[in-house]
Amino acid sequence: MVCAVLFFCFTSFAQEYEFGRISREVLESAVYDLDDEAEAAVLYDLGKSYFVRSNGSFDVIFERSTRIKIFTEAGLNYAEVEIPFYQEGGVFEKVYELEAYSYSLEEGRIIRTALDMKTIFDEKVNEYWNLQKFAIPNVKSGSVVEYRYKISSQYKSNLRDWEFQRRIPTVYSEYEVKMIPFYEYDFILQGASKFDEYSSHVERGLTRRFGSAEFNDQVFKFVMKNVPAFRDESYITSINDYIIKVDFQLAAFYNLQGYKTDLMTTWEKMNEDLLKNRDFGGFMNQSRRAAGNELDMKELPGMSEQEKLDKIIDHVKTNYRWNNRNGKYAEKTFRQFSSEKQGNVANVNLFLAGLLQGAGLEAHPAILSTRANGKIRSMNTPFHHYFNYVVVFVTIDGENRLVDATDALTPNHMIPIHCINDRALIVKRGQEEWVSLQINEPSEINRVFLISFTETLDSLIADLSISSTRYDAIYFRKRFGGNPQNIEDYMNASGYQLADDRPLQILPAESMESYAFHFKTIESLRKQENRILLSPFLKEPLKENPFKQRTRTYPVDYIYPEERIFNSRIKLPVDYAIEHVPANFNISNSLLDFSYETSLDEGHLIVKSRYYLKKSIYPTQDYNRLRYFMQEIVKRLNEEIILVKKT
Amino acid sequence: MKCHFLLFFSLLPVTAYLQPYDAELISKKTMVTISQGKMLTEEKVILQINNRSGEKYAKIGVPYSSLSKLKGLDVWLTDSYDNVIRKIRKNEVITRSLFSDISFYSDRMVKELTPRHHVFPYRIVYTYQIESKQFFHIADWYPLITPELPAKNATLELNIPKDYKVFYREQEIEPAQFEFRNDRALYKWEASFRETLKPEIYSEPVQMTLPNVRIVPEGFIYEVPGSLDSWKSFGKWIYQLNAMAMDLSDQDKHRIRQSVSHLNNDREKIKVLYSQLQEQTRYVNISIETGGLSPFPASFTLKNKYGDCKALTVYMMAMLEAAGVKSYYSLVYAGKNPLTIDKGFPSQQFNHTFLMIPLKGDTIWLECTSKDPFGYLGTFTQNREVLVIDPEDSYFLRTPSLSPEETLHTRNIIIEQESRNRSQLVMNSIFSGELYEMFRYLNKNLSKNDQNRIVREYLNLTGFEVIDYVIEQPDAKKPEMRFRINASSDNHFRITGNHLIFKPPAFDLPLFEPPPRRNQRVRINFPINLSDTITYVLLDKNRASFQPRDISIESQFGNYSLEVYESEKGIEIFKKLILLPGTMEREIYPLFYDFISKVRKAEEENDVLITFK
Repeated sequence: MVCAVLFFCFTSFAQEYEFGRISREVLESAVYDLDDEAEAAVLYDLGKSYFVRSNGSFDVIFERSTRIKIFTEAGLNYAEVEIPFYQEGGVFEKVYELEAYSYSLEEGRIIRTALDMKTIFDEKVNEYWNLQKFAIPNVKSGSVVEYRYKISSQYKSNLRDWEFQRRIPTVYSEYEVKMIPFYEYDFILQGASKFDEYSSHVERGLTRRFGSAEFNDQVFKFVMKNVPAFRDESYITSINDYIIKVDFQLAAFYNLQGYKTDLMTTWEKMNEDLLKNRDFGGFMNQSRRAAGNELDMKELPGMSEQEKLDKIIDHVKTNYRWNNRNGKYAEKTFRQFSSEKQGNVANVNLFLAGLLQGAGLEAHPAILSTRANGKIRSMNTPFHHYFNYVVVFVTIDGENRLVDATDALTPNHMIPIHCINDRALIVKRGQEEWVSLQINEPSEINRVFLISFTETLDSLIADLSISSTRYDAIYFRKRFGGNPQNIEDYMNASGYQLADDRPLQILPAESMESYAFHFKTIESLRKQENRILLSPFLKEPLKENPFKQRTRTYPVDYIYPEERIFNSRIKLPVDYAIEHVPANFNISNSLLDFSYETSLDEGHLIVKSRYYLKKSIYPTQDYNRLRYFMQEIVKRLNEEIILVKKT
Repeated sequence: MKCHFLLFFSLLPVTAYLQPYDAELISKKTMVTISQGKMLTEEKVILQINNRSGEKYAKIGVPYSSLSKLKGLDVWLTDSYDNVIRKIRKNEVITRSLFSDISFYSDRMVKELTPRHHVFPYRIVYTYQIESKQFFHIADWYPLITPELPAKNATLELNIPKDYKVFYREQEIEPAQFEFRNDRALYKWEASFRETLKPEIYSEPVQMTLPNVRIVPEGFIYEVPGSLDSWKSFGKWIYQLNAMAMDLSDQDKHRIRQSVSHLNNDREKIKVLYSQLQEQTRYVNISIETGGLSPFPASFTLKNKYGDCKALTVYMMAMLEAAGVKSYYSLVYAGKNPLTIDKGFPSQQFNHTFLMIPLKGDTIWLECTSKDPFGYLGTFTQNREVLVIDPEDSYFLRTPSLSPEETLHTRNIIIEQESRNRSQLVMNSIFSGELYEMFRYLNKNLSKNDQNRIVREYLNLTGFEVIDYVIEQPDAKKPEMRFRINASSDNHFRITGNHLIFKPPAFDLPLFEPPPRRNQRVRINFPINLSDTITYVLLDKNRASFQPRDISIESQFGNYSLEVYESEKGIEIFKKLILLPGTMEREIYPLFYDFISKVRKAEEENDVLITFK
């Protein structure tokens, strides 16, 4: 079907971004020339941050002006706008001079509709952040919406970051920051190697005064053009890690005499500051001094370092709770934490670090960014706000380890999975040392099937034992815990028919590092006339290749290497013979191992398979091979065996 | 620690089915006092958390708003002997807006906290008071906090002036104790809850089976005075709220009248105005409690071109009125699986509104929030009682139910063998009913990126890779979507030895619980009607040595059939499944399950195996 669509080349009009001036061509256009699937496109997004005098100090003003073309009904939600603003102790950032309009063509005329100021609402998101929300009126497919506003803030550390990319394409995005000499910021660009336009100059003419100081603004301008829509992919950490944006962090401020207070200089300095901070080093030192009250100091000398470590981690896990909040600073004072017995991750793990030190072990806090929080993107400048989690780096009998006491279901020598994100910084005076969080040891799921048939050959009876280790064990333990009912629900949902005698068991675990269970299922038998079709691994193998896209932009993040083992022992019915079994197969390369083999053993058919995905993160260039091998794995593990009746 | 866990797990197989609950409600006391038109609701809850898994129930949320003011919230922890461990401090409580998926903005707030303790069991005790000056319901009370947890003891007390008249409804609960004391009337309900419930598929909304007390006042003032004496008086109150919103200017009314004056019958006028509504407005739900059930005025919607169901319905009603067509605002409990309206208990039991227009020999229903064809009532509002609002004479009317033809889902699938393993698939689907609604939404309201993801997930054609697809609505006047997909596969045809094996695409059957695990009644709200034609075009015309046999399964619940033909080109398979709508008692569930299991078995065992010569 050929459709006559009005086609408009937005890129040639990139410079048309004067608020309130809309061309008819833009309103008439029906698709975006660079992405005909886009439901809407940002025509321009202009931001500006600068400093103004206020009560003997400075406020930061942020201005934004945005125009969006809506192509289809699916794009209508871009006419609903949210403006985040911040508060601490009742001192709010102020959103002002807000204007919003829609433009639509009605019977050939351009109709402009203004936002009714009575329909702007404030919503409270959490203790610090609020949203100003509004829906721009009179919008339908084809409309253009535009809005602008200013935010004044006394929070210098809230200098707005700028996202050049959204889930819809952006034609032109520009951010201008006018710095003054009293505050120093560092910035980082992510998701792109350079700006389309970047300039930095001293503003001429306008010399400003503050006290006795005279100064000129330093103007930075960042521009990106024709930025494609961000499209999600599975197996990534967080959209925040990949979207194109520029982040700012307050690095230092100067007083009138020119004395500089560094907020951010080097990693060594950051470590020193953290250790001096009341809610970091201070909290840890108080914990160290409390070790005598917390622990039985008399029994410690007789213990090995390993025993001490286990003893202390168990003590914290048993007696203190993590309240599920992250943060690198302790949110509760030592006194509160010890009376309430709960606190954020910094409370729990700095406490652990202090106790370990108190017991004479070499222990230091290590800070990291959780998976949901995104990657630490700057190795050159210490950007504070990337870090939101604390673990403990401990040396036991000369061996280095990371430990964490927030989760009783994670074994003592492992850290929770949400921490597995690149690297952690060891917070140690006078040095910069990183420790890799990459996991090289595989986690394993091992399935053993004992398959037989009912006498009448109506059904198949399978005993299935599933055991798991490490992160897979933690996953199962969290999901099923000690309640067999949870496993039964899961099995029913997978389509298994549990046998009536309910032999479903959670098997005794040797340690927190493993988890195993067992059940018996009655399956319908795919039998007709003189043949039986049999899947040796039942419904357990992956049914589909998880990698459906032909190409991939981002690395595939498996978090940890996976090992999967399948062993099936099938008791052959007496009057049936094997007509077909799949061929043996064996492959081993840098990405994975995969093997499949069958054999016979006294009236039983044995089918064994194993695959081992060796990398925790597969770079983009491995994608095609990974996808191909996964296809192979899915195909072979699901392949049937054919039995035929003896004649 | 380790030891503790070892012991715990090794004991489990023995104690598995005797396990105590992860958490339990020790007591819940609710006291409602009405004095001088003000209502005070005082709540005290004692919740015991028995182990770590029980902590997911430790989250407390207390919603409130400017009309239902929160007067105080106190929380403390005790051990299981009620010794106080500690009191929760103010800064442990988080206050935020109560956002929901359906509304863009709501002025309701919630206070939240999750008190934890390291020794189990521990108890969370909390009390709060809510004060309301304007209200049209007094209590909607359940003796529990979630159907997943048992409750030992719960009481509801109502303390009202002797002459204050209320109506109440008891469900699965002992009748109230009642006494007059001085000039007050006192009611008390007492209950416990032991039969905890887990969600089960195709069951009625859980609220319909739980113990519950609902209380409403006879008379009230909420914007305007109202009465819950009868549905007529309730309808009158709603009518008055709406009347204030019918505020189009004479000029606008004139313009609207003019725009349809050339049409000579009402049906045409309605159609034209409805399509204007659909083209010009969009659905945005702004829920502000001050103003309660009263809609945004029609003039607001006319200017801003957006609104929630009430605003859009009133706006449409105002346009129709301007054009001289009388329409009726109608209240409904919308949703695929609705609560059944308790017709013996006049009160606000609805969650949605739309319009009813009686024409000679025809009743037109207009859903004002959707872009569906004129008059389409989908799974959202079909087959249920709705309250038609009239100033003096509101009444119930039943919406028509979806017929099997109106919920038909056909798939015409052609799978062609290209080489030994490789195959191409072309599937043409026609959707009506629920899938029409889903695909219409997908097509119109979601970005291409989301569409691709959902189409891939939905497909359920194991082993096939999507090449491309088209979703379209060939006729905007017809509630029917077409979906054509091209896919290919390297493993749909599997060569094993000298056999070719393949498994024809199966129906996506709901996973019903086996009878011992099913507790609730089955409710199927509209027919499930599936029809597949699958054609295999094969390279070699070797004899199929193994193929599904023709099957026909008939029952009172519906029918299933499967027919197979060998043709010149290959094999043709026809499959049909109808599940009839209805509610089914627990006693006949084993029969129903037996039917479903037979269908499932037929679908699972339909492999085809071809032996090469």
